[in-house]
Amino acid sequence: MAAKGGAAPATYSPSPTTFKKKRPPIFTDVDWVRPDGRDFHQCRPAFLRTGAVNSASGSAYAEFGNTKVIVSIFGPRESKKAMMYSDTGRLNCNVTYTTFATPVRGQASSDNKEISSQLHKSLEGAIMLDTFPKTTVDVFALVLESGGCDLPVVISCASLALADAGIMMFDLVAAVSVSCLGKNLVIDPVSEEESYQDGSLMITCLPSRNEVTQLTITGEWSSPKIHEAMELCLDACSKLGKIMRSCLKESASTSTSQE
Amino acid sequence: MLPNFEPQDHGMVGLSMGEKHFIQGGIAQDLRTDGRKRLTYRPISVETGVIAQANGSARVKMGKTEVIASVKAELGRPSSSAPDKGKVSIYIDCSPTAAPQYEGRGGEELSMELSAALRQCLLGGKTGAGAGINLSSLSIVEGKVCWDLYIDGLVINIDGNILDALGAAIKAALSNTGIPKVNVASTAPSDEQPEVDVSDEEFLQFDTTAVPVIVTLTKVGRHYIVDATSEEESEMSSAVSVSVNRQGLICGLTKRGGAGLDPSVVLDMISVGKHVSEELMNKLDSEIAAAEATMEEE
Repeated sequence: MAAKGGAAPATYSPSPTTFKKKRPPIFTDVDWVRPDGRDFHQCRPAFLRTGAVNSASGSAYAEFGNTKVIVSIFGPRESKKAMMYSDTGRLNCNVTYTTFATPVRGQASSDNKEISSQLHKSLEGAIMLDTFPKTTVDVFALVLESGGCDLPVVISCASLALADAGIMMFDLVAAVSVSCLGKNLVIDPVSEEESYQDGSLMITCLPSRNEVTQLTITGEWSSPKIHEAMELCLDACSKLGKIMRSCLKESASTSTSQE
Repeated sequence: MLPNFEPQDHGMVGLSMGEKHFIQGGIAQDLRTDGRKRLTYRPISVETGVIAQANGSARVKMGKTEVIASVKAELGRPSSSAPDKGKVSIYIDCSPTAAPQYEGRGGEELSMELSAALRQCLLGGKTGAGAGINLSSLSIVEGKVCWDLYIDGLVINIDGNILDALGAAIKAALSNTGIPKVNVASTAPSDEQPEVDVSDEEFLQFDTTAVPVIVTLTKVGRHYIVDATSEEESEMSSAVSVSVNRQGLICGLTKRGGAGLDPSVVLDMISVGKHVSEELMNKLDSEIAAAEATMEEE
């Protein structure tokens, strides 16, 4: 530490010469193994259930590896009095983290608002807001455990909960993200991979309509790489869409057989 | 209850059906209401060094849209997770002078969205790939002292395309920024905070070659336009903002607006954005250079 401090320029310099990137050795290797032993293009096993909360109009629980989220839908119910008249419905999204969701207690609570607005943007294109004028649908998401890819899991889970609540939608919303680690693209990254990523790309789409409702890119990307990553994501989205659909069918068939 | 037709309701002047059709039809025929083509920007004017108290500042006008960006550098402690890096925070404020709906908490949502988009477009990925600002260059003594850059944007007048204008203003403000030279007194014991002497005469210019420009493509009907005015933005179905650096690499992308897009349309918008960004980058660079030159003359 002392030796390194002496070598570094003591003043501000626009192009530091001593800049050394510390990178875990696994990523410099061409054939490194992902922390959970998956292939680069293999998603985590998804576990989805609807009807997790009794008092909600609809709810869903999703578990992708260590990432566990629960989403409840309330409404459509009367908008708050202060709201102006609107001939389309309103969508109110709120994402919160439990204090024990992250390794350091309460670490992720700072950017709740940002994630909430991202969730809103991804869902609003899929919901037929004109089917419930003057009212508001509340989407409350709680991340029980953060294990990477939190936002895509929240989005997919929320659309499942919306379907469970009987809110009219054009299609289910499936979300998948990829991380760029060096030259490699890894799909559905875990927290560890996310913390070393050079860039990330997230797509939320309506699988059967083949429409992208939200796309975010961070880091440095060339056009062919974006192409590749988008294709990878869209392919995974359509698969996830099928899993979500079968989950809904299953819950519908069990509820009718009980009656 | 009668519907409320207050113009402020949707943040936009109320347009009649005729006006809406006029705007849409014009865009379809590649002739917009102000005579521009679909991919033409409004005249851009840049003025640097507008705030004396800041380390760097700029005012950018794109048509009637007007924004100010200021950069302040303060000494701080690096975070324990990245001891060899400085910190940059970007915060945007939408003044109620721009539009009445930004009074009180009204502007908060827009401010937050703009700040998040700019952070995403300018600060790159987790490891710093594609970042416009090299955080390692802000380090002074590893683990002890670093520069904290506070980038504040202020929206003065809104006539569409705020994100591009803010991106340009931040780029201009950064090239106007002088970071004071710092002398570290002596090698202090490793457990103590070293004494630093901040020079008030010598400044080091900030390197801004890597700072990307942001191009927002607004989709109206089947076509997309750059630098949309508020009137045109009220007719949009969705908008994609791409930030592109000098090498033509994409450094960030966000999408606004609810309507979904076909993946091939998204890819097409990215390539159009990349093409337009080259022009904008050159235009902006020459404007910044001209602004710096006039400032030195004064």
